[in-house]
Amino acid sequence: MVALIQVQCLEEVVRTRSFRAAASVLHMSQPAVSGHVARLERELGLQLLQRSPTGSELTVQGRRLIPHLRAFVESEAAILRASESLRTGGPQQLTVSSHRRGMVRILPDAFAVLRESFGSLVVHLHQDGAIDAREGLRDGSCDIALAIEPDDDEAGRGIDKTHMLSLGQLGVCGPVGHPLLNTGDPIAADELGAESLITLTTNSTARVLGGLLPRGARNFSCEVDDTEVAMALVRAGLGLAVMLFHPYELATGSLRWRPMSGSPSFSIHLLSSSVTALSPAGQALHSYLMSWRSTVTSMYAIDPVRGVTRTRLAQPSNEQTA
Amino acid sequence: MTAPVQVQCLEAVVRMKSFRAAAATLHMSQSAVSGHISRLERQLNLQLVDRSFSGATLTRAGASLLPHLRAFAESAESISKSSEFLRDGEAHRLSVLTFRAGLTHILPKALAMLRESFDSNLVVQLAQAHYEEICTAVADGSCDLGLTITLESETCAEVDDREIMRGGPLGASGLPDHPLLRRDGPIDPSELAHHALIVPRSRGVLEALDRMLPVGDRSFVCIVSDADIALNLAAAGVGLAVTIPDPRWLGTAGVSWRPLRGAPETTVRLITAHGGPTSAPAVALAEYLEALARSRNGRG
Repeated sequence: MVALIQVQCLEEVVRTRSFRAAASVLHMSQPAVSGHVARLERELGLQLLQRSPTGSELTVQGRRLIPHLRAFVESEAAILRASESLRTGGPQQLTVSSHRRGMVRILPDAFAVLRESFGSLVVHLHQDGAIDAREGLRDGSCDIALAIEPDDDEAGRGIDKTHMLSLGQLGVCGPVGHPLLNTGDPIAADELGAESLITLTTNSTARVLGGLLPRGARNFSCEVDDTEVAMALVRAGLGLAVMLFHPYELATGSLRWRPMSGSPSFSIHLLSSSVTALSPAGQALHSYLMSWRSTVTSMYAIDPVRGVTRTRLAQPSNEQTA
Repeated sequence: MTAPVQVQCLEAVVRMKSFRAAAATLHMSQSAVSGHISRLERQLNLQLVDRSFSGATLTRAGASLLPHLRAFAESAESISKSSEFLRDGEAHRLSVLTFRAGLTHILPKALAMLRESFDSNLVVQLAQAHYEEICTAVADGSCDLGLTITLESETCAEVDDREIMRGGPLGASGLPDHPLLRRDGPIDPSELAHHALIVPRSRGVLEALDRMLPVGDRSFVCIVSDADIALNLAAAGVGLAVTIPDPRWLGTAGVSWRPLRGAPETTVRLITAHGGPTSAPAVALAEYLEALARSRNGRG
């Protein structure tokens, strides 16, 4: 494996352009510096330095690799900083993972409430997929997650899963007037083979779509990591987005949505650990989200054909129900 | 120093809740696994695992530290992956990494232009990333093009990094009746002390904040994935969002914005490999992005 000292030697040789100068800065002998760099090169199977009497410099491969080597050194420094702050006792931390809509529509009020009760708390909010929430819940590095998943996905060992809000099945969204969107009947996936598609890379939707329409059967396509970006691309005329029904977006009237046949039903689920106990801040957030759930389910009527219909708005606005 | 194998052992023990089961999955002896973890604990001078007869679990310190340990093991992994890629790999599809406003406000127009010229069989992968992540990915060829918004002081020698737009100074946003936003002109960073803050998880912004406001002067802090989420939380009254760009870019309703005094200026930059992108779609997309930036700069 790569060792910190090897990267330091490489960096110093690159900076000073000379093994001798690097050795004197590092208080090491020249053969020691040269040995470390050579071992690093052997380890990686790449020549990183171009050695010449007029000065040593990085090869093309060395230039490409050096950001990774720096990130490696930096990540080790981060471990030391974090353990230092743990030994000295830093502020309480809470790690939350959520899909983007949840971050914008559900969590802001929850955090405003948390702030009232917890004066010094550091909340880490990650977008679904940026960290592995399920893995994190099992080992305690993530406290609470809001996830959009098919209803038939199992919670799995060590995880509590609560149903929050039904979102219906996957469908196709595009501009009014698109020939495939003249009807509201379910569309078969293979009808999309010739279309420009915008698809989501979030695990569960990518998995379901992969089963319905394999990658090899697609035309021009854009892969993005959330619905909001997909909508921006649809509005720019890039193609049809495969996504869940979103009354907020469709309320603008310029877009249509059609369900896909064969897609399971998706919902927002609240995930938490069934093994590790939540901290007081985690408990407060969890109970806020449970109360949100009881409010919101009475706010939405679930229509199996049309999807979710908003009957009352979360925030005052003049949008109309689709 | 920390070794990836120590992190692997720790992860396995935590997953299996037992040293014996972890040793079996790792094809190591139980004493080797236990030795790796004890050495890690000694190096960090922290107890990471609670050992009991009913099973091994992470301590609170272990749980807080695990994400850092994972990032470390991942970065070790990424070194070996990218050296493999450099030894024999070639890029195939068009992959673009950018900041949030780039995804929602700049790229859609450029991609619509690209679609006119490359109609079929092109897979464009778009993802959100921070400056350092973009530089790393462009440098090793796993990303073709990056578009980022950063502080002027940040540079990266491994890639071509060209300013295409001005981004304005770092500022603070919140509800219009927030005490710090009821006045005009810049906010002095010391005034942020003891106000709830929302900060995007970008190294540039986090470091600028470290310089401007000592950790001891902070109260409630929310660290989120990007400026857009930070502004949404600010609009809900959670606190002040410290972000680039200012909210007018993202069109967040209901927040006021003021610059921070002495805050660094920011720029929007196009990031490509040295000598420019090589594949035809990447060359075309870079041209469209520069053209869009010119027309935006022209409008002031």
